[in-house]
Amino acid sequence: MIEARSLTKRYGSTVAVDDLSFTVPAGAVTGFLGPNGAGKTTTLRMLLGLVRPTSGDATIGGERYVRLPRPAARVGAVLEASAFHPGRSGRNHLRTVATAADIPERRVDEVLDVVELTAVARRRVKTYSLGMRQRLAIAQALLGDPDVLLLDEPANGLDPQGIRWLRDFLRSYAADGRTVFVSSHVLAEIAQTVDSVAIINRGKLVAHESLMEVRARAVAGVRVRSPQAARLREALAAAGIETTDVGEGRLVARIESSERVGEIAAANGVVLHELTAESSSLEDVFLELTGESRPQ
Amino acid sequence: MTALVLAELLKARTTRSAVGLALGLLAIVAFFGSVHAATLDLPADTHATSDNLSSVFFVPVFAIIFGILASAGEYRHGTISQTLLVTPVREKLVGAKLVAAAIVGAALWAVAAALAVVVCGIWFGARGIPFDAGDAASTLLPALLAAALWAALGIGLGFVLTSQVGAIVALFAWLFVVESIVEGLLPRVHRFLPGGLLNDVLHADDADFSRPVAALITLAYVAAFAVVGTALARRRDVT
Repeated sequence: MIEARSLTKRYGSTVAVDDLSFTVPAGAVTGFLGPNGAGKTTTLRMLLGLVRPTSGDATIGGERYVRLPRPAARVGAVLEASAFHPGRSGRNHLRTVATAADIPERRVDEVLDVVELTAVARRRVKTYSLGMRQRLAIAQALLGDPDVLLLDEPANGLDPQGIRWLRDFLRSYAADGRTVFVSSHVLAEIAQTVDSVAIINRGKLVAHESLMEVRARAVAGVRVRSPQAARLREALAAAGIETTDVGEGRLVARIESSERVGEIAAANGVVLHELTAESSSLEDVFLELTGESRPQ
Repeated sequence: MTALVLAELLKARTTRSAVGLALGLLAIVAFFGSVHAATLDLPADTHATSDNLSSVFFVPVFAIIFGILASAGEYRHGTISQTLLVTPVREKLVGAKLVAAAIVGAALWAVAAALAVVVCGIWFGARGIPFDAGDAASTLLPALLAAALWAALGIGLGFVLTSQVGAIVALFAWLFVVESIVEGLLPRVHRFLPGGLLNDVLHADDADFSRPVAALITLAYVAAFAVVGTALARRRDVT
């Protein structure tokens, strides 16, 4: 279990992470969402003891990361744009980590197999593609067979098969009762993977709920266009249906049934030029929550 | 702790920097020893052997560069993040790097000393100059001590500055500019500075301090840089 308590990080007058509190449960995949620059990476790095919080604190399994006796066996982390020495081979990189963490060397070949890097394991990292580096980072995270996985934008650089592989892998990892916390700036990318999401914007938590609850926010609406928009609006209001005027004779009625809107229009003698039922996507919900939705 | 030292030694073996440094050092040793032996006037004086082997005095300089690469290099390549994930306690990491660097410094000395002795043996044999083993040891062994100390000094310096190029430039500016000026203006101060102390560790004849004292003061510098470097590594955000 991961716990952040009032985590705050200031850089001069800029507040990167602002009084952030959340818990990430075991046995589930939790998404960590926010637009670029929302403070995701800074938060993850505070969880991992790489960035010192200005105030507040973060624990993994009840212990601060730097206090964990064998961190590599407890927590596996995939950092954004993982850096490796370009002149060292992928396999040798993992060997240095295994040696430092007291992990038997055969485990190195096992994790290379898991991420399907065995064929290039002895090549120097500078010859690797972005996707290969990302898989090497995942291999490193898995070395100690940890019960907590933290991944910062792990899908970056992965091809579609790689993303699918990662999705299935994280699901099965959490199904074993382990904790998975994965960040992304694209909700759609992790919507099929996560059980719940913590959404942050400008360093603040804006939502922390199950994916079902997020989906429920995806309110349906009926878009209509009419030369008598004002009259239609009154008629809908009389029927207890809220509308939003989006200009140029267009309205969005906050109701799922396009039939109902059509019937009310007919009953009031309103001409319709357009009548479309639409549901806002998860992405709309995300954009709305993070206040980044584009003006209509 | 042993595991961490072994991991650091593995890091040193799995990139080309340490090998590159060793090859550069060997080239200097072979060149210097050959030129000295070839141009030596006969009959040779009593210190011909130690003079010929004195190119091993370059080892501490190569050793401190290795130390800088092993510490600041982690920041240069961004591998410091991964390293700290495995070893989040900065004191342990710096400690392991100090020990590993001293071992690599000793290894650089071993290959340099071995080649220097071989080159000297071949040339002296050909020119009929006696190889004086005791005289050889008086030059070679102090270089071992200096190599281990300076490699460790490089670790601390690298953690303080974190810039690989910056640390190497600062090192040479310090040794060849700052210390030269201080030596000319304030010789009493210069003897307490790392370069002045290195001279005392390597040469017994024109020394200000005895070898053990010079080595101990150098060790104090190693400790000071390591402590400051560790404190900075604890405070510094790794992004």
